[in-house]
Amino acid sequence: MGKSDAILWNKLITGDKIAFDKIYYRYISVLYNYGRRFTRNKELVDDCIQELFTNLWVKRNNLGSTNSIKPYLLVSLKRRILRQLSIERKSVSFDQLNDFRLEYSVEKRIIEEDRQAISVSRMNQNLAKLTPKQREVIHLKFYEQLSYVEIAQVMQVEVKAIYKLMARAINSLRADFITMAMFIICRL
Amino acid sequence: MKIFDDDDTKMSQDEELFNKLVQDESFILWVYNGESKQWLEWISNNPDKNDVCESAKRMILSMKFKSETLPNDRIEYIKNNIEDNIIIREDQSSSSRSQWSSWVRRAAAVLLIVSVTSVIFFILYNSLTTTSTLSIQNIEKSTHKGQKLNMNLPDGTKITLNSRSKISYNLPFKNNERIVILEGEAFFNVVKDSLRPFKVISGEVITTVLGTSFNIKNIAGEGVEVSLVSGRIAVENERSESVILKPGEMAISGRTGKIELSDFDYFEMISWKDGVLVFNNANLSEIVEKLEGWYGVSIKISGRVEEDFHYTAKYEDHTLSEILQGIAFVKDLQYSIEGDVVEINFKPIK
Repeated sequence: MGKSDAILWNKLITGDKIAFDKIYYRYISVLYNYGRRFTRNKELVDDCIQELFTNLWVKRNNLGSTNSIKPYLLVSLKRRILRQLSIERKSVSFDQLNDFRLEYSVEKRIIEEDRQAISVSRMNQNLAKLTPKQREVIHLKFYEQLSYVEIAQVMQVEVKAIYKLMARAINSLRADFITMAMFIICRL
Repeated sequence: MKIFDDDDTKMSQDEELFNKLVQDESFILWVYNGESKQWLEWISNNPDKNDVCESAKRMILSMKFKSETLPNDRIEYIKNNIEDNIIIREDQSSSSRSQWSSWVRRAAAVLLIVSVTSVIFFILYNSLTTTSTLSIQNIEKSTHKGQKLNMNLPDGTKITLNSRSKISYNLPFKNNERIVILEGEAFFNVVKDSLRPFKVISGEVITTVLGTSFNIKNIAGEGVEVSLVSGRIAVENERSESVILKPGEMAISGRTGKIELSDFDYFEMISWKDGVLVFNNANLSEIVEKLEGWYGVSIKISGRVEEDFHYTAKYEDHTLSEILQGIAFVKDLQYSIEGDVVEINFKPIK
């Protein structure tokens, strides 16, 4: 991110096809993975990604400059997916559609084997109790490792609101990790 | 460190600290990358907070989520679709010239001058020479039994011509179309060119391409099979019926005169171009036809062939006699090879 993103983006704007390809291969997996969290429909995600990149190239002259490409692509994909979903389900608001599917894939060394099944399913239940927006913040912060400013850009709200969503999410999940830590300390 | 306000519930000091740590951008980065004197110092100055700090670290490190990886062929497939969409969209918008940036217009002007000059030169040149049909050159390439041919067209398109096949085309390509005529079988790897579609005429079937790789098999009397490996193509027959193929699909234009779609097996259909000979539950006449084409021999069959004769095998760089030995291993037969004549004798079934 930062400088190299800005250079790549500028090359794209001036019509450098190699830069376009680089952006595609760098972000395709991230985008697909993010898109699938909103819907189980793989084809819909594929189509939206295709539209996104087609437009990125065809309308490159209208792009502004940026020094971080990822949030720009994420928000653009999200908008397309939610728009498609709202057409499909004839639903009124984006917020109602915004399901965000998130489940832990916890490694064995973090949770001991015999307890793994129980605790992971309990942890996932707690994760499911969060609001979709809280799950999205968690995903963007820890999985995509975006900054709070970038998350605000993707979620189209003020940074302050992101801090709040994050605080509430961590507050709800905290118990899982404090007891887990104690459990592991006991085993030692 | 940033102070986060949390108005939800009353928390213990430790819980509050835990929340702050997990949310703190510099702490998170330190957990991921481990390079920060600031946090090392903080921990050594606050030994009583070590447990809380460990829990916070654990939470951050546990924030791994199930994700779905996109297989490589899907990534390429989506990319190809994007390329095709771009071609179509740019085609549509190229009529509105106002969008062109000035340097494109200048480049086009230069090109125009160059081409006008060369046309004038060409006309002059032609008028000076006696023949006036010089402008079009017909090129024809063909293969005999046992031969394969790799060729490149001037646009960069690669064609592998299978044995007993013929390809012909006129150069330069006219009317903004790249047209080739195929008899027999060939594998095409077409270079993308949005302004000049690539067309293959094979028997009653026309295949139109944007940029892609595919196989066409056109054996006289047996119809035409077009198998698509990547990209997208349209297949049209004499009656102007047409289908659009996706990778992995094959269009068959048989005796019914209709185009039928089916899946195909890559090894069976395409691997010939890489020198791999495949029999996939093949009957005797399929085997004979393939061996004759592959090794440039003629095969004579005698004896009584079992009614339900089928054979499956894959050969890479084998001699004809090795293959015949292989078949003889599972089927009751004797064979002899003399020059380019092969005799296969099936033993009577007892």
